[in-house]
Amino acid sequence: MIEVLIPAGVMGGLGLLLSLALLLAAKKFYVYEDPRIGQVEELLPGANCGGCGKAGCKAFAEALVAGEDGTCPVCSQDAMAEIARLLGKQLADAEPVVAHVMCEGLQSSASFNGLYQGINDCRAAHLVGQVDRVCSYGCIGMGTCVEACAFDAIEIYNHVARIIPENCVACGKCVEACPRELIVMIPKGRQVFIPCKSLDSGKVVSKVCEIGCIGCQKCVKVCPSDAIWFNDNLAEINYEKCTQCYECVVACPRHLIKVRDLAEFMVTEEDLKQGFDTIAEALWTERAREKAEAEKQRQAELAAGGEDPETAAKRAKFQQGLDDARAKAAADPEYAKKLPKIEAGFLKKLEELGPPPGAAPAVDPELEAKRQKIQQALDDARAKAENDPEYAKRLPKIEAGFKAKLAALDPASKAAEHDPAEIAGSQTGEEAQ
Amino acid sequence: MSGRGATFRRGGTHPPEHKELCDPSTYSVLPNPEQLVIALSQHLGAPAKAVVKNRDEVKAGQLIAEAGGFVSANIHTPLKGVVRSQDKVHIGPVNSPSVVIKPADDAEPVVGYEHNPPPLDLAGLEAKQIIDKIKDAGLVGMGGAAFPTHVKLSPPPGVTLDVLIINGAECEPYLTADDCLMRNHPVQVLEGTRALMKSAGIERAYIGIEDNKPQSFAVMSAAAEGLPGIEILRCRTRYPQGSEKQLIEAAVGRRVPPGKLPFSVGVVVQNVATAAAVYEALQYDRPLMRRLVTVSGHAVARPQNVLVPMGTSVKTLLDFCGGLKGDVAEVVMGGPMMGRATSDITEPTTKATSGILFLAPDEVRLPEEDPCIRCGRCVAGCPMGLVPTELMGLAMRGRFEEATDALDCIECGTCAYICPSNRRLVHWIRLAKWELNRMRRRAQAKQKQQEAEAAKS
Repeated sequence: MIEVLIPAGVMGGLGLLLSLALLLAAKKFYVYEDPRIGQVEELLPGANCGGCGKAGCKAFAEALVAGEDGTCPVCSQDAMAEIARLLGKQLADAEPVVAHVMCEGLQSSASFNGLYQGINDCRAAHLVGQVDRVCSYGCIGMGTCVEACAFDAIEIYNHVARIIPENCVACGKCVEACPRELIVMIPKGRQVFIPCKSLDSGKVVSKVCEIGCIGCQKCVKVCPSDAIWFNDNLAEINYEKCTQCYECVVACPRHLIKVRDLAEFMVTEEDLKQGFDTIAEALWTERAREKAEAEKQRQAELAAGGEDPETAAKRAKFQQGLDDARAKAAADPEYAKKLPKIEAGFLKKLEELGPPPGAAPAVDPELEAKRQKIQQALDDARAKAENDPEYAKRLPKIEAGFKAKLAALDPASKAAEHDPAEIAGSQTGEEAQ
Repeated sequence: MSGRGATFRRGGTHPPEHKELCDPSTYSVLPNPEQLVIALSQHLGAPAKAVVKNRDEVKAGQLIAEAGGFVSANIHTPLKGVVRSQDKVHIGPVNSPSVVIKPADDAEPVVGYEHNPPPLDLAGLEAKQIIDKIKDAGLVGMGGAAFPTHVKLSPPPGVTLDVLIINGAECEPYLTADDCLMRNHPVQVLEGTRALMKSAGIERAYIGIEDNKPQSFAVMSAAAEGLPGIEILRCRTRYPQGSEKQLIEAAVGRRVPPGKLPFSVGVVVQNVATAAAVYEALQYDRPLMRRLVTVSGHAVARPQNVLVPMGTSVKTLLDFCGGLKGDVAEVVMGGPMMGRATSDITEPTTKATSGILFLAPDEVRLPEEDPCIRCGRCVAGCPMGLVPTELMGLAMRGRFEEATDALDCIECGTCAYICPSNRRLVHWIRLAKWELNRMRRRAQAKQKQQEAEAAKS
């Protein structure tokens, strides 16, 4: 029996002694860790992506608890609010962003030449310069950003990287990876963007890419809120000012400026067949319909005898100018010397606008002379017929001949046939004024 | 120095030379091209700033862009003509502003190098004056790196220079432009060397010529007789002898410490073409605006050396050399070891274009990449004493912070050339170098930003 008790007692005593030592050591070397660090870390996604700028989620949690500011780009708003509540802080009001690739020169729309045979990495290809894509600013498409992304949010589609926004957590790894700095962060709610980074002149861009920015600045001109600025051959949107009116989308002659809707954001095979961007397409159709309707209305007004308001305004302006010049000439003899030239200029401009509606149509003086000659001959023939009964018999035939000639000269103008002299008189009278 | 000629101690290789393709005994002068696209960022450092406007008429040798900083160079037009436009031009990864010049119909072709030119009268010139003239003439290193020459001649305070090395090694296969220059115009090179010695206060100069250029060596030796302090140095043919650090080791046995410039061992290295340009700048006030370019490769009909105004397109040169005589697999700007392939034959030549190679398919070796067999040949071959296979592994795994050795790589390509598994060693190391530099730039930018913010608050 004793043979059993001694070892048991020794072992039990040793156990007690050692546990006591452990207990004392734990008390002695106790390090206090703020329990909130663990709680915050629980709430963080645990992806250790480094998007916050810290080494990992634990380090970020420690920094937050230590009183530093910062946001986790991956966290949901709810989780961030929970963390803020836990730490008794106000949540910084930052607009969530999403990465976007600023090149959409797909294989179908950009030029490619050369055969790159180096290592399959965008950075290495960038060091060579122009690789298979001719544009020196566009996406190289070898997927260095895809490798950098820990969230499967980038894919290469038709030679161009594109973001899958549902997966993108805006950690910024791809932004760092891209050697051409093509990936930028855009506020999530924003719909309009200009996916081009080419600083080449329009001449060069139009040679190498079907959609690249050619620097025409139409978007800058149509933008009602000055949200597009133009620098070094490239237009860029200032998202603080953009009101998403889509004017630039419609104005862009290259169909470069795109609208995205998170669901419909990506260009798909189907879109490629139909055109480009479905939303932009719809906008263009809408604008085209509006334009057609306006044109129809204008035509209808013209047909009703009204005048195109634009032309009328121009005419009024020229007439005003002419009257002003004449009034000035009456007062200023020096100016009167120059008057004929000025008058001629205004008259020429008025003439270019065409006759005002309702006024007598303009008459070609050459035609008019011919008409008068024929009319004269007709009158002569009638006078002769009054004196000569023999001739009077042939008169209807002769009259018919002359009238046919008159009709041939001016089939549209019935008035001229009746009283050409009066019209001719008024015409010359006006010119003499 | 051994009887086999001076050389560096560590690594290196000897690729087939193919120099017989392009005869260095003579050269032709290119007739005026239809247009010149002169890049304003063709040297290391800040781009030059254009000083001409569109439709300006320019004379040959007129300044069209002035240096945009201390490490930058003036740029002059080689031909008389009219400025057509100022667009961007893409030279490799550099998107540079440029000035496009349409040569006038009556423009004289570029001036050739004079035969039997007079020696320089250096008695009345001070070092400062020589450096100023070099700066005004827009001289850059013509060996390939295009580092502004006046910067190389202005050592930081506390550094004393005692040796000048003129680099006539031309270790790259195919290229014979420097050989051609030394054979035909030794006086320009030697007189330029004298001026460079005076400008940096150096008494001793070596002109390193590899022993595969015996005529050049003979001509230069004969011409250098009686010139004090200048020694023509016969080097063993070995790649990369023409690299600055290797040539210093071959000539004076000094080793430049990692991450340091040749200044640190009291040496300045200049290319032979640069020396000739120095002579012309001093003797004729002629800026650097044209150079000898080797057009070679098995795909071009008439390989030859051509005196080319800078800004000439590759295509113009190709047409002048009789066009292609067969399939071309690769067009390389520079030599085959360190040159850069281009896919754009409208690319213009620059001050640093030493050669344009049109390589036929059988000259371009591109076998499948096999796994590393740990033979260590790249380690033995690396002239800088690096471990290329390890650097490549680190770069492939994105562990750039651990691959800082890559910054010492001179990108000579020996490792990739001798690898029995055809690993793309130098490619990955170059990538690592670039990535490390980018990381450094970003860290600097971040620090600046933080400092600015701290200053604000």
